[in-house]
Amino acid sequence: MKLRALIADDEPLARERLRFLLAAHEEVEIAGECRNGREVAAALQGGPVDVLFLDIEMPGRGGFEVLERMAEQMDTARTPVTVFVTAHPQFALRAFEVQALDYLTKPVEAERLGATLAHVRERIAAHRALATQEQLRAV
Amino acid sequence: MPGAISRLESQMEQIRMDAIPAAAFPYLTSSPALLPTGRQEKRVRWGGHVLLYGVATALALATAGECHGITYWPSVLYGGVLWLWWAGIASAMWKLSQRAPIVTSFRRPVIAAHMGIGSVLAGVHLLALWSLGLFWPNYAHGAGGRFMWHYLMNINRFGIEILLYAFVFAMTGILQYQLRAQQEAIRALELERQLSAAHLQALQMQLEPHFLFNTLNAITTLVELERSKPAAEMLTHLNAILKSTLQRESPEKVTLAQELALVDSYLSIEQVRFADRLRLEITVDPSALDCLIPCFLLQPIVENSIRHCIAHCEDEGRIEASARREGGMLHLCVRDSGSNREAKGALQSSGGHGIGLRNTRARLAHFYPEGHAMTAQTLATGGFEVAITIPCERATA
Repeated sequence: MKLRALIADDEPLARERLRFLLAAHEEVEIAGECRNGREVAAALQGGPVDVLFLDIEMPGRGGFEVLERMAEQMDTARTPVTVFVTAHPQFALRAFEVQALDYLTKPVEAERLGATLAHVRERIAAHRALATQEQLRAV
Repeated sequence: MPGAISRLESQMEQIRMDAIPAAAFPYLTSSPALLPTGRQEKRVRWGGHVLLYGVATALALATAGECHGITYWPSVLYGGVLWLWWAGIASAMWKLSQRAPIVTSFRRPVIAAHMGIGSVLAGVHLLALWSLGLFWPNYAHGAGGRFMWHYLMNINRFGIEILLYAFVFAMTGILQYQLRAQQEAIRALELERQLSAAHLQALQMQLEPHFLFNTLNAITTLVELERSKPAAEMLTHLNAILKSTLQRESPEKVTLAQELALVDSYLSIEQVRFADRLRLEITVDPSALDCLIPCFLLQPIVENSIRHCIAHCEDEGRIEASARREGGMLHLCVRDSGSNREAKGALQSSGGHGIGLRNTRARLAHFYPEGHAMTAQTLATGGFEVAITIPCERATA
């Protein structure tokens, strides 16, 4: 099972680094890269995304705003799992409140990213199991 | 980077070499001039003693001259004991007063004690003068001891002794008081100078910690991606910035060329971070390059623009910096294109510039108490502009 990942960061080098680190994981497929909140919204309209690596401080719509809109506009089944990637540790509590799966501080370390991805797979598997169960019940 | 700045580089290198003369460190050289050196102090003290004993000797000789002439040695001895006694008391009192200021303070118990000591000393002095008569019976027309006793041991002589003692005491007290007040004033001045230097240091650039983290992250990424050339360039720029920021005693003023080199390093790093989103236009009048400006004057303003404009721009943001010389004045201007967010709440968000600009204002007021101007305003286009006009000072080599 491939994990489709979307990277959202306003700094080109930060995106590049994450792409570089994710390249080490065969099961991850980069679905796209976004420079701001608007582009994230557009990319999510485009195709299914499993995991969103989201920077908090982006021009225009920031990470939290993106997450809020996602919760309002998308149905839960299609909403990707969110991992915050930020240089600022002070947003961690708020990230926890909006139910982000993980909170990575820059510079992201390869090992830490591996643990996050394992966590992401578990969450997605659980989601899928739940969805299948509900479908069966509906039948 | 636009060509303008790189073209300036070679010129800057030259100016950088010879433009940081000792004059750029004024407060390093000014402190020894403020405080008198030990040698000067010693010379003053010796001069005082020479004068004191000189006058006493002259008076002694004058007294001897009035008696039997300065060739008659008992007369010289009498004059000497009469006047050098006072020189001795004065210098002893001066020394004691230096060690313990209370000795010559004008407090009642001290004055009472001095009256006692003065009376005893008067007695001793008169007895000493009288004793000269005992040793030389032929002294004073052969009148000897008895004549001398009547001559010296009376209320007039005693009163004069007391008056002279009081005079020496008062003079020592007043001079010592003045001297101490002067030293106190110098010390206060020195303290004030140190404080304002420390204050300035605090107002000067404090490197934004995030800037350092971001830069190191960027360098890590570049190294991992095996893009060693931009990584090395970034390290060079960071090195230049740290060198000027971490200097223990940064100069108060640098040439515009030096400040621009710092701004250039800073912007080169930010350019890597923001890539195509950051556009720069720097226009500098070449004749303004060797004007002196307060160190780190421009860098925080440019940093503000990056933080408040470029970091919030979804698309391209622009920073324009310009410097030109007009007559004796130097006009500096930093303008950004603003961001959408800034345009929405222009006045509220310009508050974000607040602390940095207040520091800049305080420093300008310190360096140019009269004759500087600074305006900071949100433009109709949503951008932010800081304009500074200061006298154009030249580096004196």
